[in-house]
Amino acid sequence: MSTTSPLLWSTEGRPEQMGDGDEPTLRGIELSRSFGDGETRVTALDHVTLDLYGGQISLLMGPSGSGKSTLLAVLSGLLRPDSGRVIALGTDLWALPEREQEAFRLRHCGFIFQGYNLFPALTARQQLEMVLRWGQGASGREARRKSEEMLTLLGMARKSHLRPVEMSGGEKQRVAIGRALMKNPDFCFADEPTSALDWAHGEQVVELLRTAAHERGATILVVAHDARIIPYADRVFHLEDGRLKEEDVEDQGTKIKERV
Amino acid sequence: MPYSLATLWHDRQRFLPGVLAVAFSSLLIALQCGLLLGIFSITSIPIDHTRADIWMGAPEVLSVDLGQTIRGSHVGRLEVQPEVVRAEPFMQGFSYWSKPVGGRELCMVIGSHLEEDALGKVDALSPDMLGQLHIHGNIVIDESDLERLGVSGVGATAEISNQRVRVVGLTHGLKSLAGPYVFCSLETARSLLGGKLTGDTEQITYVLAKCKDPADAPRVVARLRERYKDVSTFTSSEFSFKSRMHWLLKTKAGIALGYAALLGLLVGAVVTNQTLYAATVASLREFAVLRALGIPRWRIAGMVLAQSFWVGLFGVTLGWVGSHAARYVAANMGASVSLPWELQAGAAAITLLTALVSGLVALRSLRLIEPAMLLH
Repeated sequence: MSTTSPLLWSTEGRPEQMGDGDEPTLRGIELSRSFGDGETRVTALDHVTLDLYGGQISLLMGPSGSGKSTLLAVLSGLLRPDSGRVIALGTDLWALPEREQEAFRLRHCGFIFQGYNLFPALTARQQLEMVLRWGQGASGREARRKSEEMLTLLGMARKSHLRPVEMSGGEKQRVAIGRALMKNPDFCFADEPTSALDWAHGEQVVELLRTAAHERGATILVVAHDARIIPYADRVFHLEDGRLKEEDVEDQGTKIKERV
Repeated sequence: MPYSLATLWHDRQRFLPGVLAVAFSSLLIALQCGLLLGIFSITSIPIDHTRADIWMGAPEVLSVDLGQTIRGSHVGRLEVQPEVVRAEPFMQGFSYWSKPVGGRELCMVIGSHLEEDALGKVDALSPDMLGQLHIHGNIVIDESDLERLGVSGVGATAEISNQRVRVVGLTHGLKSLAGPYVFCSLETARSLLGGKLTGDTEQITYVLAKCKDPADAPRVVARLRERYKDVSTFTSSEFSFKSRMHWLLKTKAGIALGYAALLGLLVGAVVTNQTLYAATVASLREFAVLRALGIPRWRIAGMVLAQSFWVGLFGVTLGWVGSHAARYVAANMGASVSLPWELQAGAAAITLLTALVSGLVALRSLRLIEPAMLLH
């Protein structure tokens, strides 16, 4: 039930290590992160190690408060770990100065958050244009053309003039996905992208993300509660009490590899 | 449409207080200055209501009503200028008006040639009045000064410097500040101001000149300034401005104006700042997504500043409309509000700048943007 074309995702300018399946594109090594002090101290990540590969969609699951979002934030350069390293495309992300981290995210990362977070005043097309114009200095005409292409591929061509208040939840999430993928990122991090949607719309969203991974070799990490996403994932991780396990998607729930 | 403008229009209710605050500031500044300019433009009536392009007076003269005597022969200095087609003497000075009912009042005697095209004749004098002013002792005053001078109207008599004068006409709209204007012939003025001209009938207060092309006046003035250091020479617009500014500063009215304008600016700045700050805080999550995507902070700051620009622009436009409406209302109530374009541009520039500074201060809200806040 893919809503996308086979030519959806451009593979121009992809680093060689993307999508070859041999070398991990994103490595988390011995990552630890705690919050609070003293008796209220909570360990969100406890020496977590994982490798993610280009061309794959990885699903990170676990109960509420298990540290899923923390791991996503640490891997994506949004939250500094207490210890450990994140190697993204061969770069030690947390060893970079803040400005270079920002530049790395600008060049390589896309994000999808739970609450859409679209500008109420802007149309669907403007939400996407903004990323190219402000992020890459694209001309108004170029940004408009690429935004319209993306909206067409997302099945939103006829709704490019709508503002968030005029869209359904599924449409808003598709625009949010379009915004994340507009700059053709090497990594896409999605935090509960389907939690506010019914399954019909949620499934479309997951299809879009899987297509982005498989067709253009992006590394996609999805944090979710919803077990219905599992069949769409190439790999499934389970985080609980700050410790990570990888489940075998061929035989879910029975074959669990201890990674720690 | 720019994103900032689209946001402003979409959230217009949120931004309205800022726009109104800027409009209020702009209106207050323009109106305060306009009222003062209107009041002090009275001091330059002899310049603004006559035809001369050039005024020559005593050295370092501060205002047209504070002219000192100069030699009548200085008329020749202007007559010989190739650009000048006509030069005339002009007399002006304070004297005392003795009311028929008793008491004295300071008045400003103005004497000029009385031809239809005379340079020093105020435009409010009708041909009939001019004809009557040829008779020694005949004068014209403004209708608004009748009560102040203690006379009933045309035909009334009084005394100036112990000489009998007779009112032969009334002008309209030539109000006075320090002393009522008394318009008369050059000869009558010489007589009434005689106390200051003892023994020398050749003394006058100003030489007025008309150029073939008024655009030549600045060049002629520059040449005369260079050549004659014992007099002051101005174009009529320069002298008018100088006269008004002198009284504006001397009466300290400028200080009152400054405080009122400052207060208006302060109110405008605070409200605009709060409006922009609240608007930015309301969009923190959206901005946080952009920051997560690596969009530089300066881009977001640029949007906030652009919003402050639009708030300023809309406010200034609204203030401009308001100030003109206020001028119309004031004119109907008999008050004069002068709004030259320089004043309007200045008020607009100051308020717009204030709005931009408010935007800069509101940038502190950007420190609250933290992309990790979007993760649950």
